[in-house]
Amino acid sequence: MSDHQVTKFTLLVTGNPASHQSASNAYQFCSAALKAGHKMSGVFFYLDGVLTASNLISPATDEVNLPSLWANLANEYQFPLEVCVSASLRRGIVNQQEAEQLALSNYNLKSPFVLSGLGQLAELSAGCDRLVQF
Amino acid sequence: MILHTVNSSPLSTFSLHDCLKQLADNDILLLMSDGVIAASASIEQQSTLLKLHESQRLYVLQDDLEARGLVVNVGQIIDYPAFVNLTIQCKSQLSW
Amino acid sequence: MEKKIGIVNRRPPHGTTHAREALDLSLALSAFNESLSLFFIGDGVYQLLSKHQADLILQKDFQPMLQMLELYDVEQIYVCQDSLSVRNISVEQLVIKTTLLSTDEINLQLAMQDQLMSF
Repeated sequence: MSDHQVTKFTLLVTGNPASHQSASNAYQFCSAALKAGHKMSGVFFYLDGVLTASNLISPATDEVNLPSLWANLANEYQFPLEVCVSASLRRGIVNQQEAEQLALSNYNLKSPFVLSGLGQLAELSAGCDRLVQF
Repeated sequence: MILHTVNSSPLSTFSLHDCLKQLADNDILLLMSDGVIAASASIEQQSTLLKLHESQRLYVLQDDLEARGLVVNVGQIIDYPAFVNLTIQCKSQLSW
Repeated sequence: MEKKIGIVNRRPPHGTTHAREALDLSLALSAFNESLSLFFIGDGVYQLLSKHQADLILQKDFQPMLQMLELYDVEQIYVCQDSLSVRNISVEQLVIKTTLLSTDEINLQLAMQDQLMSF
């Protein structure tokens, strides 16, 4: 695709994947952008969007599993799924390190999602051509 | 030039109403998710939407429209690749 | 050149966490970006109305954090004049120093931003 300009996107996802369509809109947009040859600097999950990163989400078999769709897409196209750590902790999304620090009995962060600070959003914002929010 | 995206119904929230107030002369409006109801129903803002449509600044996301079994009275139907292009064509996006 | 980022606050406080988490985000971004602008429009202006008692409803009182904006050198704080008028709020009732703008003036400022985030 030498004849077309490649755009670097950052997506900001704030919707609950179990109850708000914006989470699906974000995935469909991301998928379309990548298929068109564009790049994803990263996807940043904030507010209820962080719930997408739980590996305990278990929808019925005839329902879409959005966390798995994101994980597959990120693995295929190699872009980061960044999850805001403070928004995560208050919603019960925890990685091993945080669980040890906070003396919690379990952790549930799905791979390849990673917990990061809001500084990471600043970095993604600075490094992309377009930021799109869902 | 801003791409405004409205994702809730104009018959249940003020998102479209507030968005139209902040829509500047060259800005573009994309109706998506429950926001597509604005393209189908008879609503207060219909004449404003018609003007936007006539100046090719009103778009409706196809999947969200068809998923709800709706047809448009106003607005140009686009798919996701065209949505991606709109975000590139516009300087920024504002989600309502 | 540094990107101009605009944070648009349009929801009332406390009913959802959008206001508080948008403020967290604004304060965090201000450490990395000196061209940050905050907009308070529609019900978002209620976030700035003084005398909140958030503890009554088991919510966090984020208004002291609004004072941090000045310390973090976030000076471009724009409030929609029309949104205040409709809600019978005068500028004296706001907890921080802001710039009042008309709808059209807000549009001009929004158009100058490279990226917008809305809560």
